Amino acid sequence: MSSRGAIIRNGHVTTDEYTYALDEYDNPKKIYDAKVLVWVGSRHNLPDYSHSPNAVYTKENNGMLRQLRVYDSDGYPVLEIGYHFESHLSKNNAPVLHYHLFKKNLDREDAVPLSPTSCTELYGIYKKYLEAYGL
Amino acid sequence: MINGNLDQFLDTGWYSEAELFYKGFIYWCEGQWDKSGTCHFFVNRFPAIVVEEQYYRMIIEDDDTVDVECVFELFDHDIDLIKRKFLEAKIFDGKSFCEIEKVVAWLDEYGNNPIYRRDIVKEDYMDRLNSENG
Repeated sequence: MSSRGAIIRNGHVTTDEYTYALDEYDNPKKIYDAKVLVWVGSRHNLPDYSHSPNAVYTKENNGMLRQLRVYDSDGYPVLEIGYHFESHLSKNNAPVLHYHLFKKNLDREDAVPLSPTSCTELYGIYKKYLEAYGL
Repeated sequence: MINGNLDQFLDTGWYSEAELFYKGFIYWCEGQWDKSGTCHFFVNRFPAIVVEEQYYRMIIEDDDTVDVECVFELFDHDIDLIKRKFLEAKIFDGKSFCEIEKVVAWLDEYGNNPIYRRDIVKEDYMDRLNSENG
């Protein structure tokens, strides 16, 4: 039997295994309204589901943006922006800014390079988060 | 599984850019769906070193290239089939995921900070020298 996001379908979510990164004042770190998450234990990746509707979460890597996920009003992910080496997109070892769209059943669509010129509208919507990370 | 939650990996992690470390390589596991609903699942591996038991640094060559090798690739609509074939494939140095699950590590990249192959030995030496000198 398929188990994709089974934790979501069964009504139990994994957000209690995450906590917030702290800023220099020991307050929960936020990039505008995006919460920066860190893991409790040995979890990886941003949550498959958000308790908070229309949430934005980021995952950092030594202070640099690794991933940003946007969730819809039902708490399902709709968009993921990544900044890291992707072997089929990157030239040499360079990280590449790209995005994936999600379907409701958690299917991740093909990675698409993201830039102000190639995806003007999408880039414009999330520009403030990217610029906060120097991208 | 070291530094990773096996339940999470087998649920959605296995196709969500999981970075598994085994015997000197990162195995990048990713699935992407096209508009028709066909999943392109692939595992690319490249050399890396472990940092602080949770992270890895990608090893790059003098010309800044990464030695990436695709060790598994499948296109299908059936995600259960893809998952089963992936878990059974002997792509981890001749072993399947099921055979190495207790010793494979799920890591994160250390800040977009690759290391040149020529510097690996040098850094190891400096670390040893510094620790010996207190």
